[in-house]
Amino acid sequence: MPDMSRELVAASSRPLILSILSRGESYGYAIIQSVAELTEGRLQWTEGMLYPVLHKLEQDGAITAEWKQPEGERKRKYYRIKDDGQAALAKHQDDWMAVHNALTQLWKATQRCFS
Amino acid sequence: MESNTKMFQLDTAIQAWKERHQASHAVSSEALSELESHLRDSVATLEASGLSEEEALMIASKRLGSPSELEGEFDKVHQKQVWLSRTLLMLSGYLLISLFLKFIAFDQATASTLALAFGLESTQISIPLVGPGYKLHWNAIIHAAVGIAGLSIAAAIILSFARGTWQNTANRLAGRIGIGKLLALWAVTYGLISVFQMALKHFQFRIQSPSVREVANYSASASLSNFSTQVFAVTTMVILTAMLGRRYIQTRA
Repeated sequence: MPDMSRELVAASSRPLILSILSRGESYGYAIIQSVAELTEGRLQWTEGMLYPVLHKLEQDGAITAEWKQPEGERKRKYYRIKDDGQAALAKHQDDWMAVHNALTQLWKATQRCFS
Repeated sequence: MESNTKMFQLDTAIQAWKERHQASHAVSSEALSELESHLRDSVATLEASGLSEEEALMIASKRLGSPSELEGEFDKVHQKQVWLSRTLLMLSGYLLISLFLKFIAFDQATASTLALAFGLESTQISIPLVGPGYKLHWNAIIHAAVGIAGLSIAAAIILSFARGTWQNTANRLAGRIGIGKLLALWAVTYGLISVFQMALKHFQFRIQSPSVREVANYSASASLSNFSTQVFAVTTMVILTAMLGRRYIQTRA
């Protein structure tokens, strides 16, 4: 299967990051692991690409960051979602569900035509 | 024992990796620490799947992206920082030079003191430092000390600039105190030196004849007008860079 288009990868990065963070705080490497697992490796990020997006979300006030070192682990920068981020995520959900519904309806109709 | 040397090698390799990424304007030192912790996580995971430390680091750093790739990604988000960094570099160079020149002007007496030390007459030098009845004015000694200190600081700054550490320092400084405060700091330092210089000149020339006193007054007002010229130049430069920066960002967006 060829790689997903760059545009789709870029467009889905924010909703994915916000959704993962809405489940609880996390750090860059773990976020990338989650995305790889959830998409079964279909969505391949250039790993470095994640960080500028995280920093932009932080600048925009959607998430906050904090350096932490849990017992017996490496020092990492943990990100947590803020209220603004939750609101942005709700908007993303609305938009993506609208596209998803439209495509699902169209594809169902197409299937009926061909069957 | 063996694992110790191995650990050391990984740290050295990661240090080398950090140095390759350090030159970038867009990737701040904090972001680099974050990337490093990612790299170490990635290496640990790959190692657990049976790769050697060296192989793991190779693959992990490739997955993270090359310095130019990463800079490209960071550039898109941190354009403000990129421009702040460029402006800052230009500005700090200018501010340093202006302070340096000011210092030389402030300390022209050092040269004359040295001349005195080599046995020249006080009449042969531009600013007479030896008042009637004095052998060597105490002011001259202070001037010499200040001059030598100033020149040493300037030399240290030039050396650190040559070694490339200045840019990092400037970035970190701007990140911590902000460009506005940096400018204010410069203005205050410059202004204080000017005022001090005027006061010293006034003091020096008070022991001289009335005709020399006129020169002193003239030179004090020249100092003041020089300072306003500097403020004007710096302000113009900041505004121009900000405008240029915005235009650059708009073209890129």
